[in-house]
Amino acid sequence: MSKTVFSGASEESDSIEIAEKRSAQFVMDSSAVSTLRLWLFSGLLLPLLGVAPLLYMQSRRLIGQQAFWYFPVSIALGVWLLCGTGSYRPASLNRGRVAVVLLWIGLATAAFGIYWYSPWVIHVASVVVLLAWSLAAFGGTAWTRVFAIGSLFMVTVPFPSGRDVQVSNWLQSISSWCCNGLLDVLGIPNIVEGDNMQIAESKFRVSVACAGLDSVFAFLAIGIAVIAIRRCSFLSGLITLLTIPFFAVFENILRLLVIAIGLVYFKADFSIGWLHAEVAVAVFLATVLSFWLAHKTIVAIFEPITRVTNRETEKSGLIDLYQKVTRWPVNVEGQLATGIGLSIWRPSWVSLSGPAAACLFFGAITFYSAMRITDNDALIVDIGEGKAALLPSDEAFPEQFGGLKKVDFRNITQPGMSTQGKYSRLWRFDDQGNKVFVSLDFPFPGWQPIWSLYQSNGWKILEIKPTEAPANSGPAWTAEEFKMQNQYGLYGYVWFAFFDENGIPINRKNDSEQLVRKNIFERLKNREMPVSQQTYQVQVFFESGKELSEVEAERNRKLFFAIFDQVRQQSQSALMKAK
Amino acid sequence: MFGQKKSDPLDPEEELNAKIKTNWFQRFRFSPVELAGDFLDLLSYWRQSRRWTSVLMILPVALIAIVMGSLIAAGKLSDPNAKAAWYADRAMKEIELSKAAELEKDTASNESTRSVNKQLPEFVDMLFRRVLQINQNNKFARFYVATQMDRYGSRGSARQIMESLATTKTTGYTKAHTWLAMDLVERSQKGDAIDVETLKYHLKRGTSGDEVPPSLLLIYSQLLQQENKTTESQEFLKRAAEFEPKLLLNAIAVYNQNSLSVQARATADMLVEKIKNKLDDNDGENVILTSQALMFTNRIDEAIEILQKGSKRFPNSSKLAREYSNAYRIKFRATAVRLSDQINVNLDFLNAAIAIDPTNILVQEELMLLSKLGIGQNETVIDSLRARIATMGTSYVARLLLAETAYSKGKLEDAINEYEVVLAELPRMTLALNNLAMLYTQLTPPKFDEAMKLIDRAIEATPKVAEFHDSRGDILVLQKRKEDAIESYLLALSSSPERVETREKLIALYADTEQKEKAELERGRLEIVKKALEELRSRAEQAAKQREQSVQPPSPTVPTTNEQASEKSGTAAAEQK
Repeated sequence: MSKTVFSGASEESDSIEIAEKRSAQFVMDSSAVSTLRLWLFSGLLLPLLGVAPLLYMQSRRLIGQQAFWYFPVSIALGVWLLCGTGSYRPASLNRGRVAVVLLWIGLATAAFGIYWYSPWVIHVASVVVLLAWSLAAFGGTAWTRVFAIGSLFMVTVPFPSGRDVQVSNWLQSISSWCCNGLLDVLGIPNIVEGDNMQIAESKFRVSVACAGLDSVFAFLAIGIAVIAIRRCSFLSGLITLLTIPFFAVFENILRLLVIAIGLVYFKADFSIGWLHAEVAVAVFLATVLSFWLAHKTIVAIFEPITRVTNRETEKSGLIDLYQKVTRWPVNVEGQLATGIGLSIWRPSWVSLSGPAAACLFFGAITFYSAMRITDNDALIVDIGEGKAALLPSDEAFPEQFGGLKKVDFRNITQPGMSTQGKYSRLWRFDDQGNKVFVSLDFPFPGWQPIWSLYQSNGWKILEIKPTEAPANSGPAWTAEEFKMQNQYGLYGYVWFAFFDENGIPINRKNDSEQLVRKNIFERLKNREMPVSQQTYQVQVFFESGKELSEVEAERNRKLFFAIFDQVRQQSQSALMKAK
Repeated sequence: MFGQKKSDPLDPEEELNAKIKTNWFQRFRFSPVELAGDFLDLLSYWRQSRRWTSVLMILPVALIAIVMGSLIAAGKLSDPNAKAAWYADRAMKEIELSKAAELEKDTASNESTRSVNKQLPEFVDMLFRRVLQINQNNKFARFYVATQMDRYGSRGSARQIMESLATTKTTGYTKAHTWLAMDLVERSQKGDAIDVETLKYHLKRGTSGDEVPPSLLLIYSQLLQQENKTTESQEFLKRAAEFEPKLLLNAIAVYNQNSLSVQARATADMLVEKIKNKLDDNDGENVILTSQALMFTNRIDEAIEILQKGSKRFPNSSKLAREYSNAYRIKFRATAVRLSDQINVNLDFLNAAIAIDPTNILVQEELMLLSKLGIGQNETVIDSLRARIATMGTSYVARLLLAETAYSKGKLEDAINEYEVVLAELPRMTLALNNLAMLYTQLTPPKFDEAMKLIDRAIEATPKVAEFHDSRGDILVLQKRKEDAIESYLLALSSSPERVETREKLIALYADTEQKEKAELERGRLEIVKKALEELRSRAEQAAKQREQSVQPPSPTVPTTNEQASEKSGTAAAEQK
């Protein structure tokens, strides 16, 4: 029986090597060099320069979030891998066309981002532009590989609308839930209340102790890098990436377990200080090792069949399908070697003048806007210590206010950079034995929902509804109220609302549209400074051992509006002084 | 080979080549048997071509994951009730440990014990919270969480939880009933209007438990007594006395107030009986308790006898000395007899009170009383006092009264002489020290240094008496040491914040020294004090009226200091007389 050899992994590697050798042998003529120069200039440098101010803002934001600290490494690795292919030469005609289309998509996104003044959209646009440029500039590299390496840039983009935080919270809750069961079995007393966990006598925040989000996104970047470097098949790569949430949770559980064992058996607190950092690094490395082993297994399981076999078998569609699936896109890279010599894309100055003009226009607008309205680093809201000190303090409320008795006051400043209310004024009142907390938190970028903070502290939200302000307090506006309950049967009632720098209450409906994503032309027309994006939040929390009747709720509602007006008016006059 | 087709008339090689040229989908064999064959072929080739070392690399990770997963599943799928019970048991053990640690702290206070005590409640708190997390209907855990909330200042929420545990419709959780009864009593003490029927309801159910605060038992006993349920009342009284014999004093006071002298005497006897064998214990406290019970029921001589013996057993007990002194002071009052146009008093009793405890500032009240009776104006009385001194030797009261008389007549030197004689006998007699100090400041030229020395001696003997700090402040003002004077007035006010005169002097000083903000602050406080005093006065009047009209929950307040107790006993004894 005649025998044949299946084109397996070793054959793939050979063909890739051949392709790369042929690619290296490719000698660029002067027109190719000119094409690449033109493309580098109009397809990458100009667009990036055009959105540079907003890109800078986005990088500041990413630096502000520990979860994305890996982004420079990820970008550097992507650039290194692209350059390392050694195939910097013009692409085929079709690829060039696709690249131009992608570039236009990127530029349209950038235009949208500039119009809405959104650094996040600009980030997305920049990644698209980078991909477009890479696709046409690395003509000797398979498009699949360009996209694989491009994923390293994509992974630096946070999920929109805070979805990344939701993913993080979800993973943290899974980790806490698992650890809770694990510790119960081990006979270690513990409790999980939202984001808070207590093991024996020690309390800590799961988000701080585990840094769930950090590990997920960092793992994702590591996974993509491994896949790109090892030139894995799509199937192996995909399965490897799908295991990442598992390893992120695994790492978190491991960390919590180490903290619990440290507390109970060694009386050492690994949830804080340098010990925490050491444990974090050790657990991270152990998880990376586990991930690597899992990846090796996945690749070994899903590699093509390499054994010499009966040629008769080759007629089996199932085996052929398996081979195709497990080899893709490595076979595309192999075929690339044969693609050299096809008609090459040679864009002219004329065809790229459109993108170039658009980029220049963007650049002009964003630089102008940066000078006009971003002198205070627009979206990173921080009003500064001096101005913060002017806002209402202990004296804002007398000893008795609307039947409430003032018990305590605290002035809180969050350390470091915070876009979610760096400063807080917290008044505690006694309402016939029940606690009432009033807080003024600032500054925020626009309207923000706050119930997730309570959820992370173990409260279950029962109802959220808007509540209209009394007619006598100026133009109609609505505050939000929500009812919640915790596992001890306690009820919590929260009313909250925001006002802006001018003391004008903000409706939830207009949150991002009016403040964060206000379009640039309107802002330029009104000569609004970025400071107008800053909002001030007043919230009142009523604790109760029973569900309030409608009469009691109405009384609290009225009390909230009275408190809101009191704080708003005092803040308004303080802010006017500051101006 | 699986999936092999039957023989074909065409050349097999050609047929195969033709098939290979088609794509995989066209070559796909959809017949189940053929598909199964292909699949088994695939498996076979797949197995033969694996790098098994790489495939098996996952084993350690998988092993850890499986173990962890199994443990998590076991933890999550275990019986919630059993889990809640485990946590509740653990909590109970921790509470026992906490109690043991408390006891240990009482006997030998050391740092490690303190740290254990500090940590335990939070841990116990966590255990109960977890019980509630698993089973929200666990009454004990809810009760515990509510008490914790009360501890952290959420009394209202705690009350609401307790009310859900112990409703007024059905008998609920006993401890919650107890807590609610206690809460009602405390609210009543603060002046809140409470429903006595609700209090009785909670008391009835709450007192059926084992761990009932003695004060609550006492209140319930008194309420029952007011309803003429004497037998039941006595039972609760006995239960209360088992824990805290001192509480019986309250019962005696209430009986006295309601003119139930028989019950008062029986209760006093019960108390005396309970502690008669323990008179040598407790650093003289039991002696004081016995004497108070006796004095409350007008058996002053018996009380003095007990105190006399006690003071021999505990010669260094200042509390006992004060109590002994007060007993004589009360006897002095009790033996005062009003005749047609004069009052006969036995100064020996007052002398004894001074001699036993020269630092007893309450003696001043008796002296003031004598002054009010016009002793200073009556020459016959003065002569008799002098004669008394001449015949009987030292009589502190006589000398103090003579000094007072001399002072009122402007004979400062004579007054000073009298005080100096008293102080020569009793150098720690604070009242004489204070009065003499003030006399020195009125001399021409004033003797500020001597005055200061005397007042400092008085303060040294009784540092908490506001009167002496006030006097010190007055002397400093005269010396124009205003900042020091402010300090002294503040010390006086820290002991007795209700002193209106001292506060007024302080305000004047602040104004003088241009401390306007402080002066303003003190003015505010003065207003609050005046208002509070006024409220107190009107509340007392109101309470007295109400007491006459209706049944009220009795106050569970127990005298906390001997002075207060003496004052109460003195008043009660005087009232009885």
